[in-house]
Amino acid sequence: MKIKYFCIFLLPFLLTGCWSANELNELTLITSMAIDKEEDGYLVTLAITVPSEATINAPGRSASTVVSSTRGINACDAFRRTSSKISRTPNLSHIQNIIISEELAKEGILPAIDCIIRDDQLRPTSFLFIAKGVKAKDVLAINTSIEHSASSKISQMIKNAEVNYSIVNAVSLVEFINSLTTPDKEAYLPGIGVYGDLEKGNTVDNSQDVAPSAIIYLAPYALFKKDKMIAWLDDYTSKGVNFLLNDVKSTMINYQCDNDRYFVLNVRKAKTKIKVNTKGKVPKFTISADIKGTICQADCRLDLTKTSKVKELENKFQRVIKQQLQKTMANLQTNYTSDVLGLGGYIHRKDHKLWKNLNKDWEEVFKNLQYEIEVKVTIVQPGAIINPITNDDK
Amino acid sequence: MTEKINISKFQLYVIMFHYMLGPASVLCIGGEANQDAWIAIIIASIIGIINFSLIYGTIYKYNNELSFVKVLEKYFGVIIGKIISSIYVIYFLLTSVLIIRHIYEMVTMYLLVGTPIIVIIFLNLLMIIYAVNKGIETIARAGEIYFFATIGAYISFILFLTLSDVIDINNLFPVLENGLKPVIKASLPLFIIYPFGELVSFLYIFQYLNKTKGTIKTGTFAIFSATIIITIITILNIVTIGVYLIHNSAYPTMKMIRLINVENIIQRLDSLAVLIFLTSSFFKLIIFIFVICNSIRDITGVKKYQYFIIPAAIIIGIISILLITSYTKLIYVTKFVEPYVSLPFELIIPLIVVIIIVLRKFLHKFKET
Repeated sequence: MKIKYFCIFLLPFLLTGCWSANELNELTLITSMAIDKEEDGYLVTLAITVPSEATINAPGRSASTVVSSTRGINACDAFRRTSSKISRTPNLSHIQNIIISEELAKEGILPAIDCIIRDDQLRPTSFLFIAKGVKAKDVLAINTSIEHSASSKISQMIKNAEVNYSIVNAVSLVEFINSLTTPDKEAYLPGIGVYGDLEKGNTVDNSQDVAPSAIIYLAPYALFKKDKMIAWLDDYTSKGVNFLLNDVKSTMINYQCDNDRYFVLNVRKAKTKIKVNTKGKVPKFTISADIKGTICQADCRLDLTKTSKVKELENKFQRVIKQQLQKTMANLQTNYTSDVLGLGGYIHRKDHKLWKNLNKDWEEVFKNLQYEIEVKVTIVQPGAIINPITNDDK
Repeated sequence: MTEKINISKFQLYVIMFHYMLGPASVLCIGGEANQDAWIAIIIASIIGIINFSLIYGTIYKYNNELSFVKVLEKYFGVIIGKIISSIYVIYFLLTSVLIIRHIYEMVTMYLLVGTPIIVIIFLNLLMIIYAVNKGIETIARAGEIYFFATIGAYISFILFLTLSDVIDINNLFPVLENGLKPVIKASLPLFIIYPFGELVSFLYIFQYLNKTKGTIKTGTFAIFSATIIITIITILNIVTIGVYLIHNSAYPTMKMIRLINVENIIQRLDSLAVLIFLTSSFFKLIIFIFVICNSIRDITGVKKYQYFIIPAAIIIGIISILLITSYTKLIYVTKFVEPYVSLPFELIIPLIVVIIIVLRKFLHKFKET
C-alpha cells in the first residue's frame, strides 16, 4: 500500500516532462545568422524560418524566411535583444551558416566567434562565411528560387561548389577555431556576396522572376592573420590554395593554345602531397600534385588518338598547373605572408625542435621558404568524342 | 558475512567497466599532455593495473571473505581500523559529491537546460536510493543489461565519427613533442587516482563474489577494456576537435559527438550520448553509496545497511548543492584537489596494509623456524 502512495507522489515528477520545456509552437528555428560591426556596437541578423511557408506544400505567396536585425553593444547582447522583435524563443541548434561582415573580420573576429562557440545549442559544424562587398545582413535578406531560403541556398551552394569547381571549400566552426588557435597555421574563410539589386532582392518577386534581380554567389577565400582578415584572394589564387590544401575534388584547368582557343581539362581526381626536408639549414618543401582528368573542351588541332600527342597535352597542362601553384605560393609568401597552408605544421610534425626555433620569426622564414613543385597530369579519357571537331573536309 | 548475496565474475567485470568509464570518458582526462593524452592514459592504466593486481590483489588474496573495514580492523586493531574506515567513508562521500555534480552539470548543459539543481539531484538520488536498497546483486544485473547498450553506443559513436569526415589525423603529431616528462606528469597525479585508482572501493565488494578464484584477473581485464575505450575516445577527441578545444571545453567528448554527421542522416546524437555517459557515472555513484552504507554498517555493527542509504543520499545532495557552487569550482576540485586527497586512500593505506601482511607472514615463518 505504501508503495502505491509513493508512486502517486512520484507521478507529478515523472509525467510532467522536462522542466523548462520549449514546445515547438513556442520556438522559432534560426537557420542562419549574420553579424555586422557598426559604429556603436554589433548588429546581429537572424534568418527565421516561417513554419507555414517552409513545408513542401507551401502556397509560396509569402517569404519562407523572415530576417530580423537587432543592434547591441556586443554580439551576445544584440542576439538577446532580438527577443523584442520576435514572438518566439529563438533556437540556435539548426543554424547552418554564420556570415560575418568584412569590417568585423578586419578588426578581429574573436568577439563574434566566442559568443557563437560558447552557446550550447549551436553545432560546431555550422559553416562560416565572410560577406564580400555587402553587409552580412544583406546576404540573408535575398530571396531565392529553387531552395526556399537564402540559408538553405548557401549551404547547398557551398557543397555544390566543393564538388564541381573547388574554388572555395566550406569551413566549419570547429575547423576555423582550430586553425585560429594553433600557432602553425593561419585561418581562411570562404566569401559570400550578392550580385544585383539588393533592394529588389528581398522581395518575394525575386524568387518568382525568371532572371532574379539579385543573386547570392560564393566568393574566393579571405585570408586571416591571427584573428584579423587581411585580404581577399582572386579566383586563380583561391583555386591554387585549394590545390595546395589537397581540397580540390573537381575543377577546370585552362590551357590557351591559340588566340581565344583553349584546351580545358576537367579534373576528376587531384591529390596534393606536401613533404618537408628538415635536414638542411632551411626547411625545403616538396609539393607534388597528382591530377587525373578528362578533356572538357578542345579547340586547337591535335590528334588525340596518338599517345604521344596526349602526352604532349598532358605536359602542357602540367606546366599550366605548376605555374598556378607557383604563383599562388609566391602570392602567399610575398603579398600576404599568411601561412594558410599550414606549412609550419608540416615542420612542426616532422621536426618539433626545429619548429621551436623557427616559431619566433616564422613570418620571416615563411617569406623565404624554398619549395619544389612537381605536377603530374594524366588524361584518362578524351570525353565522348576523341578529336577536336574541325571543318577541314568542307 | 554475506547474506546469500552472489555476483558472478562477469557481473563484476561489468560493474567495474561502468565504474571506470564514469565521468572519465566525457571529461577527456589527460588533456594536460596535449596531443599525447592517449599515451598518458596508457601509462596511467599500466600503473593502475600494477596497483590493482599487486596491492589490492594481495589484500584480497589473504582476506577474500572480509570487507575492507574488517581488513583494516584486523591489521590496525579495532579502534584505529574503525577510525580509518570512518575517514574512508568521508572520502567516498566527497567523491560521490563530485560525481553527482558532474551529472548535474552535464544534464543542464546538454539535456535539460534551466532545470533547477535540486530537481535533478533529487531525482537522481531517488533512483540511487532505490537501486542501493535492492542490493549489489540487482545492481550487477542491471549493469549487465546496460553493458551491451554502452558498448554498442561507444562502437557506433566511433563508427559514425569516422564516417563523418571530421577527422584530421595530423592533430596527433608530433608525438612526444616535449619528451616523456609532461606526459608522465599528466598521467601520474591524475591517473593512478582517477579512473583506475578509485577501484579501492571494490575491496568492499569482492566479498560478495560467488567464486574467489580469478577475481583479480577479471578486474585486470576490466581495467584493460576500459583503457581501450577511454584511449579511443581520447584519440578521437584529439583528431576531431583538436587540442585547443579539449583544453577549453566543459565536456570535450560532447563537443565531439556534436560533430557526428553522416550524410545529413545520422546527426544530433548528443542527447543519446549524454544518456550513455550518464549511465556509467550513475553506476559509479551507486557503487560508492553502496560502499558507504556497507562500511557504516560494518563499523557500527548494525544489521542492515539499508538504514544508512537515505541519510547518506541526503548528505551527498546537500553538500553537492552547498559546497560546490559553480562549474569552475567543480573542475578545480576534480583536477587539483581530488588527486592529492585520494592518494593516501587509494595508494598509501592499502600499501601499508600490504606491508603489514608481508611482514606478518615473514615473522610467522621466522617464528616457525
